[in-house]
Amino acid sequence: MMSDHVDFAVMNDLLDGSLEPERRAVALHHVDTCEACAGTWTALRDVHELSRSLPTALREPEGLWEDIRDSIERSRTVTPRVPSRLLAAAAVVLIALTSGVTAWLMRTTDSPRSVAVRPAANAAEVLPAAFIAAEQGYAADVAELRALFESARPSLTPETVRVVEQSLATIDGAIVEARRALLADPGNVELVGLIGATYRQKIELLRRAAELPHSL
Amino acid sequence: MRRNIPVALIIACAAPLTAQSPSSQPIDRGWAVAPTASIRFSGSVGRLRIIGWDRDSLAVVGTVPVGARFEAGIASSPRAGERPASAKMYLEAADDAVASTATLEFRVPRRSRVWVKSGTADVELRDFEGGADLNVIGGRVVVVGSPRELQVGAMDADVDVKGSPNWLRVKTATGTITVRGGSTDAALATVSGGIRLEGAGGALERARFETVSGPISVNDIVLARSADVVIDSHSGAVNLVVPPGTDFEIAATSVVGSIENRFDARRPLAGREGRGAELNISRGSGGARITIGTFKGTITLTAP
Repeated sequence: MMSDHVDFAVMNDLLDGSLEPERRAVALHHVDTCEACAGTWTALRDVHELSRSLPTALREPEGLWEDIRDSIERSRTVTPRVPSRLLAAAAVVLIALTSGVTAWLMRTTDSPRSVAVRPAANAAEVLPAAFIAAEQGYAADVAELRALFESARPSLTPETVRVVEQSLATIDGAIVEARRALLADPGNVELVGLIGATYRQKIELLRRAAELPHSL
Repeated sequence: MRRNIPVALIIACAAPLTAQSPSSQPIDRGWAVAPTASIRFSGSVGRLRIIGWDRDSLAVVGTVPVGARFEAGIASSPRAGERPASAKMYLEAADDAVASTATLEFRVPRRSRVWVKSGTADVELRDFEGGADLNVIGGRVVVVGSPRELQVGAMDADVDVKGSPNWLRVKTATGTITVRGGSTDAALATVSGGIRLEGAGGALERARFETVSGPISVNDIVLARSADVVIDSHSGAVNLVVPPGTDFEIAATSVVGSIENRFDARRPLAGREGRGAELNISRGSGGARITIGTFKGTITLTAP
């Protein structure tokens, strides 16, 4: 007889391997023998396995699992009367939906969330989704600041414009070079960090260049 | 004839004082301000010296070209008996070429806040302990002393800091940054300009050095026990003279470049997919941490 069902959060810890050995054994025994929990456990495990098999570029954003768990915890606080099994089911649906969208994205070669070098979506040639999102953010900032710089250009000396343009070319060259390397090695965290730093340099340079006319 | 000699001498001696008069006009003004007053200056100027002093006043001397307009606004304090807390000055000239002949010297309360924006100018700040924010396009910025906070923004100006500001931020595009001293919290960034930190025994606690293609060299520094130093470059070479004393961990990675370890016998390992290089070395129980990352710049670690 099962008096205490396994909590959804505990199931997640069980999947992540972060449960202490004693609690792990008890939880595993429970999900093996409790019909009510077994369904949730199997669905959760399947979704987890599915997500792990996805290519890097389309894997869920960093921290998604934790966010889902936090969301569930918050829901519990707000609506304590909702049965935990319903919450667990809702979470499974949410995860399945996320994975479904991800799987769909994986099949869609012209997806805005991924940048493939060639349309034949070779996973190794796709940039990480989190990187793409960050890059889009940088691109928006760059476009905005570039427009400001262009409007400021007439009031700058040719020498100043030359320094700014030369520096932007140096930065762009570095981004292109590092980005190409990232396409060949999408899991390289060091590269992602370096490209991010270079983008921030570009934004900072454009910001200062756009502000120059106001300085005098 | 004898009577003519003294007259000739007087004329000769007076000449240097009056030689500037045809094309320039003298400035000599002063105001009482609070010891922590905010003092702002904007305008094109050839040379600007800012010197901290132990008086609660602001003094401006120098020469500006004829036709240029120097203006100053001193905000009166809302409380009776208190000295003004802010001063705003600007110099306006027909064009930069004319303005470049202007030379100004400010004497400011040592712990005040100073803000400067100029074009191509030689700016010098010394004997100052307050907060300074200096922005130029070209020229040169020299800071001698240890302001509590120092921020310098430039395009192609070289920036030279001789001192240990608590909080230090310097950004240039093509200009070289040289710091002779330490800092509790430093961030130095260039695009193609070099970054040189000659620690002169100064301590570093939290620091970030970034370039895209400029070289970075760091030597003669003392690391605080829990120091965190990050050095990033795309293609610039990084030279670190490993600091003596403190326990540390160094993690160096070059994505496609190389690492030369002249500090000890450890050999760098090949990086991901056999490209580039990685090296982790430590002394004692760690504590201070130095992280170096380049895309293709060579990283060199040297013994002190």
